[in-house]
Amino acid sequence: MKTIYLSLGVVLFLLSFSGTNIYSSVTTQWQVLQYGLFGMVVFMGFLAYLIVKFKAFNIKLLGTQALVVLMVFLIGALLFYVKDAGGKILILINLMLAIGFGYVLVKSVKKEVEQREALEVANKEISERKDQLQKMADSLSVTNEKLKVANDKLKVLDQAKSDFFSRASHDLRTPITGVIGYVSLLDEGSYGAVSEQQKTILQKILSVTANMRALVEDFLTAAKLEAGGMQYNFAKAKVGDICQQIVETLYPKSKDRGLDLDFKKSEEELPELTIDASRIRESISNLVDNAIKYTEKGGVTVKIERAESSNYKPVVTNSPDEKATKEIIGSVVRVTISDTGMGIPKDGINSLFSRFSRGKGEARLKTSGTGLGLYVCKGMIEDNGGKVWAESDGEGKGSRFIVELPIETPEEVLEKIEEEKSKK
Amino acid sequence: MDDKKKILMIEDGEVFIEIFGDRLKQDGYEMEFARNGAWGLKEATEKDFDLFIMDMLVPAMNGEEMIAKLKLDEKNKNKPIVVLSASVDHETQKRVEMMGISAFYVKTHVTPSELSVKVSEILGNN
Repeated sequence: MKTIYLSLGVVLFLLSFSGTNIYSSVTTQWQVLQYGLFGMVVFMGFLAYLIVKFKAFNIKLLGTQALVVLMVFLIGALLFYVKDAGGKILILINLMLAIGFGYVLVKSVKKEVEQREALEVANKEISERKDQLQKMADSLSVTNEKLKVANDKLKVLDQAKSDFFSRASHDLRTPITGVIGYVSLLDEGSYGAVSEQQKTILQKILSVTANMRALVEDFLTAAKLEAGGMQYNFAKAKVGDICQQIVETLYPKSKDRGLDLDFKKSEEELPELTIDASRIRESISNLVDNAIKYTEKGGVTVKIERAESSNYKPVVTNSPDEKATKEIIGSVVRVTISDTGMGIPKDGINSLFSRFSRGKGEARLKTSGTGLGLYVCKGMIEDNGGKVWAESDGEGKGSRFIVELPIETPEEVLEKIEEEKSKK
Repeated sequence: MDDKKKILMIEDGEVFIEIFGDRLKQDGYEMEFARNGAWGLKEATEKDFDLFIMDMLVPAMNGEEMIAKLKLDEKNKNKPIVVLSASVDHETQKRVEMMGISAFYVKTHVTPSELSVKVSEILGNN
């Protein structure tokens, strides 16, 4: 079709050119000859139509330019052949038209070619980006797949870990229960009469086994804490109520030892905290029990109050691995357990909460314990977002154990920040 | 009819069957034992018992399931249940206590005679 249009243009041009030539030679009216040149305009019209209609831009810019130059040259050359002034003017007009038209044509072709080139570059870039994106998406889905597999593996490992702990707990406790059971049956005379001397020995076996039982319990708890296998159930609870219960439970024990056990309630109403109440009870109870154990004279005081503190990283999930990174600067509930006991020497205060630490001094060695109690206690309080530490004015001057639990959870702090923002 | 109280102990550890079971037998109870949960439940529905003693971790059905099934059984729903758990797990303890058991013991923390005293207390009140 393009060729047809092009040939039609050429034929029309040649026809008008030769037609006027023949006509003028036959009629000798030479002035007609110059009108034949208008065929050129027709030809150019066809060419332009061809280019625009069929977007035949592959006719190179150079070709268009050469064609235009050639036409201008040809029309210009006619000036030398035509003698009369009227003819010269017509040719000049023709020449002007050809130059003007040619200029516009070249310019538009140039513009189109440039646009097409830019478009091609852009298209190429787009398809490259598309490829890149596709690759990224592919690798992402591969990573996702891998993550899923890893996650599944982790879940299996986690299950294996918790299975191991329950298995280990079961298997380690069973023989102890057996020993305690049989010895107590022997002691009670279930298997026949027992002499007083034998009874004393059986009592010793019972006491040693009880120590072993305590060690196994603490050891299992410590191992669980370290492996992150400890399960927490966070719920709203009042630390004041927990302390009250602990004091009530341990009161008979302190009375037996001839000690006072006081509970100083907070004057203001303390808010409920998001904690695992049973773990916090276990921890504080351990501290109060220790205080009673290590005090010979005087007494133990448990005090609860609101205080200001900083740098808390509270946990509000069931997994200690997901400790919140938001630090809380603000109010805490502080429980202070102070005693009039043997105190803690300065060089022993830092290692008090580490594993198998029993404190220094002869007196502490006389008391029973596994050395894991405070370590477990610290782990559980920290997993609840709190802090625990010890203070003492020195040996023989009593000691204070302080537990602090943040009042606000990270979520509550975040909410507050958002609220303040929206107010502004 | 003899007036001996019948107890079903669901427990897979021979040591526990011996130490706790022997003591209860000596104290005048008629003891029967089931070594797994499913068997224990079958025994419980087919025979008449006055009290159940169960471990929380036995093969074929765990303690919680057994308690739930016993509490749904018309014949056994009001029979006292004593749990002897192998581990100190406050959450499990809380849950089964809510289900209406009569006593919860951690095995390492109870002697056979303490258990026997508790059993007589429970059955005396019944």
